[in-house]
Amino acid sequence: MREEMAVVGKGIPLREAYPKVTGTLKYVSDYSMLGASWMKILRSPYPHAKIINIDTSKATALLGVRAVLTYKDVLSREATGPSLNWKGKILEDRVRFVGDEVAAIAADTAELAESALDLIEVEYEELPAVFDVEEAMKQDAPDVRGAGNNVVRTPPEPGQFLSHLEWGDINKGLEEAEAIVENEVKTQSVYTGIFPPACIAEWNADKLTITMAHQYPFDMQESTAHVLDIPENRVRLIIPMMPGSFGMLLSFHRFWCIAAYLSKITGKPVIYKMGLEEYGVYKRRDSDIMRVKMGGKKDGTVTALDYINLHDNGGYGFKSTTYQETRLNFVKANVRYDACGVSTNKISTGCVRGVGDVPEATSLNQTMAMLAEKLGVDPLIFWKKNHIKAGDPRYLDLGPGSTVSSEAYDELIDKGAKAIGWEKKWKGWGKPYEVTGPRKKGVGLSFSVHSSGLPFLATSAIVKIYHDGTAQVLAGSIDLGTGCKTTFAQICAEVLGFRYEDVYVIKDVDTETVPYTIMTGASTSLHVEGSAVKVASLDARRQLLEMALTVPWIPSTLKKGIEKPEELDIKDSMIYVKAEPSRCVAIKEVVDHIFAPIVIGVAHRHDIKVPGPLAYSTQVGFADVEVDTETGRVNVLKLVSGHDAGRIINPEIVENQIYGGMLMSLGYGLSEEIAFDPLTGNPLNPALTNYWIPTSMDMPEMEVIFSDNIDPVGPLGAKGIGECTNVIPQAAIVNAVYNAIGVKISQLPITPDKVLKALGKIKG
Amino acid sequence: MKQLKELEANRELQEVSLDQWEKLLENIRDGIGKTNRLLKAYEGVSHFSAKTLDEASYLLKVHEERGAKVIGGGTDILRMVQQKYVPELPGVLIDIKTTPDLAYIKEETGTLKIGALTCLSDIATAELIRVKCSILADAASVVGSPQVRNMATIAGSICQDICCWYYRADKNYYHCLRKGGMHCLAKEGANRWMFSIFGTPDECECYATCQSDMAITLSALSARIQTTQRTIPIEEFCVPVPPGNVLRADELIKEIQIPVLSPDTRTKYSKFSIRKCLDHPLISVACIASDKEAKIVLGGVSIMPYRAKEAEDIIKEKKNIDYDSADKAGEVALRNSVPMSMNDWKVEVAKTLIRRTILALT
Repeated sequence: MREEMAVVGKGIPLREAYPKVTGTLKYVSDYSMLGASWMKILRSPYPHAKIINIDTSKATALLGVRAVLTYKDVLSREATGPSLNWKGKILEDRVRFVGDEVAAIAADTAELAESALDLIEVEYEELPAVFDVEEAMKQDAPDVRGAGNNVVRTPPEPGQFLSHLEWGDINKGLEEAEAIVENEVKTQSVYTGIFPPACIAEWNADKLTITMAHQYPFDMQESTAHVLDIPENRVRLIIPMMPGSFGMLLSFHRFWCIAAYLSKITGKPVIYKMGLEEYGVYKRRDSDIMRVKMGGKKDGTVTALDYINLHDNGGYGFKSTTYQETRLNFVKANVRYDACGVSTNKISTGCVRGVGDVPEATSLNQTMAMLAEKLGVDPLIFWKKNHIKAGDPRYLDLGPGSTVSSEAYDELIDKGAKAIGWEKKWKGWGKPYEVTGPRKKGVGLSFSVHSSGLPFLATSAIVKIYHDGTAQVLAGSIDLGTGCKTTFAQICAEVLGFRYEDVYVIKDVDTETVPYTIMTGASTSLHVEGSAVKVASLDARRQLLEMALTVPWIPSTLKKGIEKPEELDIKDSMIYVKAEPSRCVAIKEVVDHIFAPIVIGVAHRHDIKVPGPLAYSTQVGFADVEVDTETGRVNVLKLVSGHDAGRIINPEIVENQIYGGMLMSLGYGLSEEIAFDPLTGNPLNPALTNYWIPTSMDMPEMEVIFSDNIDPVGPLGAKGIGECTNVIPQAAIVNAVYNAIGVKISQLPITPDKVLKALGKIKG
Repeated sequence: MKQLKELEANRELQEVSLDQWEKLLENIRDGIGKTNRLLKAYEGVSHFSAKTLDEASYLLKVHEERGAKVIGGGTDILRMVQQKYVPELPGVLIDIKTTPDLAYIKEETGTLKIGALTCLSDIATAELIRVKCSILADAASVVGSPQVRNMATIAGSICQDICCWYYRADKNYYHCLRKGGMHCLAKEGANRWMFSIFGTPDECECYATCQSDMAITLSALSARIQTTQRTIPIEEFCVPVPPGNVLRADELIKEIQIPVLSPDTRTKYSKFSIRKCLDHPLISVACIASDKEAKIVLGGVSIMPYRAKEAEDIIKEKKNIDYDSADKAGEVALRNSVPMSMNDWKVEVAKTLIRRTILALT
């Protein structure tokens, strides 16, 4: 492959940017279908109750109501599995949180369906409910799932989801330590994507088609078939372009299965468009309680990390761990990790951008700061000394050579420190660098590791070259605002030697036509699916060059004296002789012939070399904050986000990801929190009113830094960083606030009341 | 209905006992009756475009039984309709945007007059207001977002429904005090943010607060509300009990009148909210001081705009207010505060905000 890149590395605008901003791109909620019924869901008013009786006769009798569905009408099959983040039945005679599904109606109009919901008469027997994680863990707590509230997975279950991990000897590590600190950090629950999902379910004879937004189409195909008890080969999912999901639609949900039932009963397509207020009861990031004990030596090495994580699973979440990687930085220390997922009578939790690393990076970075202060080690030295290095083993053995491919911490820490002005602003632990009346300024840093390429994730791709010389990429990754369609087109164009305009990545993912891809999540699309696109493109390229030498309709000027395809190359959609570039022919001339086939380049699981080393994205964050000690307001002055993104395929897309990540992280750190009513567990800010997502007005100065690293295993040397962007800024803010005011705040979000309480100005 | 017909047709054929039959019939009729009421509530939202205020007033009276409401910019009432947060939704909306000549800003005989339909972005930018009453322009410019300010009217702003998250829970989830319930849910509930630190008035034990930037500022400006029937001082216009103002069923706001401030008057509006825009004030301070008088009104701390009279006395008749007096004013203003279980932070912030507002008077 050529070293200089023709398409890769260019800030090509997103393919769908113009249609998006002009409103011409269709999302699922813009779809309609002739003769469809509309579905609405009756939701539970109680946090925990048993349904004693449910009378649907009045609703059924109403003209225009086509079907009413209750737990009596559905199979008692359970959707479960670690990847679903969810465990439960489609409808049940039991409700587990306010807003839980009770019944559903399909009617001629959405308004009628909604009005008819009030005609369903339900008799509940209220059960005691529990909302607090620590309360729910107790033996005598109300049983939310009916199988105990605590989710813990131990061997022989799959290693990825284990609740207990250990490497080294924790006792030895603590003994060796010259100082030990203990810390408890609590993080809050936040919402995920900011759009209400929708779906259309339609039965056509023996086949079910569901159009919806989802990040995990093939897994949902399987689990949908399972809960409906139909063969998997008769379920088709169509996933159009979707807005930012951030993990909201990585889990299993009930709504499309309910729609599928109603479609079967009514014989019509069933449309469901969730209301904004309903969206609030769908998915959230878990709130975490983290207890960290960390020990280290005066030379700055961490010797021990004892870490407990308790996370809220809500009503149906089913996680035993929250998929955390930041502790990988302590792979050489002695580490013990215990996690427990806890069911409560609140809305279910699931994966959200950055998953467990967002709380984990917050707690570990704060504890590191405490330890460094106690040991008297300079922060830059401390952070540089305790991180993973290329070649280090991953803590879970995933087979031979399962090591980390590359990192760029030292480079990023140096560049980031320069960008934030560390040299001038670092005055010591808990010491502000500037005090103006009640306003104090401080700086802080943080780092994290997050998955970026998990080669054990199966994937495949197809690259087709059509008769007009254009290429089409069939890839199963969903574009949830991440720009992967544009990125894949760049990779394909680069590898094929095509002009960018000649490559098109299909917009809608259809499980019947697109080859298998495991999921769009864990920031792995670029690495995993991108590798498949690269391999498929190479396959198509090989075929094109072979055709150029063998098919009779190619002018002899090109073929004369050429024996091997290696003597040819492709550039700007032209095949040319390497030794004599003026001898060339357009791709179109090779493939545009009555006897020419459509060239199909294929990559499947076995074609993609599973390399030993795993790609991890490493990131470093710096924050400069000003705290008003009279009002408790934290004003972030500047954020620096340093990333090792490997070779950057499209700098514009990557930078946008990072800016968006900073916004999410700023909200997580300072303002966003789902407020639960203490009496009912009902979210009080479901429609995002009084739920303070930062606006553009709230954003500080932002600076993005990239490393010069080229990853040895990523496609063209690239790493994915989608989630890594909102893992670190809030942790840097937490440390900066401490340095500004000299008091530690271990509970997010850092709202004015928490600052005033930490400063001892109120009781709180 | 179809089922009903089928049942009637099959009555002789099937062996259904009379009791069973009647019960079924009753069930279905009951259902239909209930549905009709529901449908009326939903589909019966009629929309009228009034050409004059008289017509609007007439329509309000005629449709009183269906809970007729006025719609101007719609930034607040449409949330009520969409989120269905009250038990009785308005069945009729009377649009007054179609009424001509109600958006104006003028000065007449020592009074600033602002037409009811004047939008907040106009108030924020109007030269006359910037010069004669900059505090109002400043307050208008921090409401919501540019889109909201382009739609929201001054009359709508002072009639804004309270923004308590229990009261406004979707689909009327909580039977709160304002809806005839027995208790204010915030009292034992999540009361960290938009709730009172001055207890509740005798007539209504609701702990929600006035978060209207406009009502707070206009209170400090001693504005008068000219309606289609009378002129009401703003402190009498706002009341704690639902619907939060004294407008009669067929009464509409015509104009807001503000006495022109004397040339030596200095003013300042400060708003404390979590975000820099698209946010209600958690605490706000409107302060007006001249050689002769002073007025300090707090928002977000009580169900009504809260006048800190004792604090006013401290800064009254002082040309140059020093730090200590301003600080004392803050202390005094909050002397009677009774914070709830989670919102004592507001007391501290309110004190600081008052001091800073006084010191920043221009």
